[in-house]
Amino acid sequence: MNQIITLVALIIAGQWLQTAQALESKAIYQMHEDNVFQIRVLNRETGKKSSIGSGFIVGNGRQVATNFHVISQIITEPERFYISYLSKNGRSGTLKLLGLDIAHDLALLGSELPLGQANKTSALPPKGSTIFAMGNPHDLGLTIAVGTNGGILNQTDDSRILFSGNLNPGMSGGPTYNDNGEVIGINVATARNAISFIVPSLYLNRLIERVDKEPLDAGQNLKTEVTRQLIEYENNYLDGILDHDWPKIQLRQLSLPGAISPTIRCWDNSQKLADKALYKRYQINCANQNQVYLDSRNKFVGKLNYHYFWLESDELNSLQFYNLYEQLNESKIGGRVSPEVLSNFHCETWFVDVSEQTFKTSLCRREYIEYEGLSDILFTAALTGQGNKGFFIRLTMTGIAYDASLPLIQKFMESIEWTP
Amino acid sequence: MDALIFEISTQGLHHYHVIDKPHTRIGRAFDNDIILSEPTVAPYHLDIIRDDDGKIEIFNLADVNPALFNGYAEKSVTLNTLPIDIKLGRILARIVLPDNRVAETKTLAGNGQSKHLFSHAVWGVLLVALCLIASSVDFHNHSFTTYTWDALAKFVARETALYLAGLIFFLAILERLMFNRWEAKPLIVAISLTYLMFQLINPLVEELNYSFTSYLPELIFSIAWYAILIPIITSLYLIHINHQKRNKSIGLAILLCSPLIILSVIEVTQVLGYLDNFSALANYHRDLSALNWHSDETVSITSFMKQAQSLSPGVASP
Repeated sequence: MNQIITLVALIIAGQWLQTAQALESKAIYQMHEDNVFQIRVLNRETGKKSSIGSGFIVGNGRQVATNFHVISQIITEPERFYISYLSKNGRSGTLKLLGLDIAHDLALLGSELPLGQANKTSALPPKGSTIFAMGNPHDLGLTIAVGTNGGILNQTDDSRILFSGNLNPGMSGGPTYNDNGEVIGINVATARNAISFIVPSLYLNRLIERVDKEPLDAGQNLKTEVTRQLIEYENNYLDGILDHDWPKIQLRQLSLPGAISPTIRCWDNSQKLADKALYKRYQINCANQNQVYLDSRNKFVGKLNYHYFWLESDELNSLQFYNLYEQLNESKIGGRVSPEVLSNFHCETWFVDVSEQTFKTSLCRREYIEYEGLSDILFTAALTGQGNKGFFIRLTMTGIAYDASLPLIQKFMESIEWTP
Repeated sequence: MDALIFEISTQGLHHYHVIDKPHTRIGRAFDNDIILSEPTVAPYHLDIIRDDDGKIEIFNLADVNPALFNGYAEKSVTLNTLPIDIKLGRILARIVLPDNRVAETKTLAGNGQSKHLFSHAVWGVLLVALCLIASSVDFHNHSFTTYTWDALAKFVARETALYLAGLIFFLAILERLMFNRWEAKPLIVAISLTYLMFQLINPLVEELNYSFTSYLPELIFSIAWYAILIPIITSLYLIHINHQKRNKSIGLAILLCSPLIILSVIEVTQVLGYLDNFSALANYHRDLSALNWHSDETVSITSFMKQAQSLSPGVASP
């Protein structure tokens, strides 16, 4: 009997909570429906939408915040596209680009005329607090998604908040509010199944401050600015990684760099081999999570990925072993890239002494055609001369200044220790 | 009066006529002593007159395509030395003495009575067995899991036995059509030796790739094997086994191997083109070697980093 009473009480309490939440989201929606817009990138020739997102009024009331990836087409093709906003009541107008924060996927846009009441920003509420994301999913109209704050993710270099609500395409750039209706972040991405990501409002405030001091020049080459910001971010990121001691992981006879940054996660990737396999292989893959959106053709850059591969066998003869070792020693950065976007790789090979072992080492680089100074780097090193033991590293970095990658590669090699 | 021999060169066996009369007439007409049914030969082209003292005179009778004697057009020549080359229209001929020495008899390849490598069936069987063993070793060296005899047999049958059998069959038919001869044993030996040579050289080339950190050895080999070595092997076979003349053998070898030569040139052009074309893949040296001999010295990390600073940027595709 007591159990039945408890169950009924829980159901009633749940319904009351749902009602309370619905009231909160309704109030927030009504409070902000006039200062959250659909942001549209329009073709100058046809006047039709090429991409859509969301944005909201900030700063002096003439500024609109959104995501960089929402309006990135005007960076790559400014002669073809322009930016416009559309309010819930049908008001629309042209916006110009005032400032960018590439690393955090933010853009600040400006209007000639006052747009309305600017949103206030606030610090992130405690973990588990209810937060509300507004935006225009799939061009279906303004809506609000309710979820909870999952906290700032250090694996994203503190650039993302985990949000348990559902963000959908078109909501990017929209505001995320606390229960007081203050902006705590900007909608940015989703991994589906109620796993979404928000950019903390802290970075928006910094962008507004920077734009107030140094707005973008009208004639400024935006690709140069994108490259400059990206290199600055990547250099700071790598300096941070180089500045501290790296944790080690042991893979058979080798001591190797582990997760060298909080942004990096390492996983065992060893595949299950067939029972009749005459060898053993072990794989560890480490990759960062703080990748940066560049444009619709290059997608994300800032990838730092390293892969360890150990191979050994007591049963294969030397020829068999090296045939297998050579077959497995291949590296692909992959991706659907075109010659308009990237150059070919240029590679060179050395034999390098690492911890008194000889590694056949190759270093490759390719360049971003439209972003001068940005490169993709591929570094590989394969252990030689250890009989039926093989090991190789494959380290890739994308969208980075070539010179900035070398200290990391050097420290990487110096951190490898061979145990006889 | 000693007899003379009139030799007519042809594509197959040469024709020989004994000249033992004081007057011999040669031409296309049916009342000649020697009839040459060749349109470029005149009805009465040549007169050969011999006297009792042994003097031999040859008279040109043709107004069209007059006869050439040792390359010269003459109305008549008196023979002091023999042999003499005579050209009648398109026909090449010569007059020789009956005691003119002939070349030594060449061993008939494949008659089974000689211990010659290309003649005895045992060598053929042994070499085919070696090919199958080499194929089995190749299968073993590229197997990284336990395998069954059945899998090994299937691989050897598919990759080697069928391939060799097909090639031998094709070339035997070709030989039959071209030279009207069946010479399976020397063909089996030659093809088996070529196969074994490839099995031996190919790993060495891969080793050289690693040793010199370059794909040049492989590139050179891929051209040399099909465009040079195979034609050489073919012409040697035609000269020494089929007893064809050297120039003819070389010409035939080039003709027979021309599809291979063309394909290898196309392949190399494609490889070179591939290096220039855009690719998302990094083209670095992946070769590894159990022997681990390399011409490049092993450098320190510091030295590597110093050299790495000057790594040229990637080049955009045109």
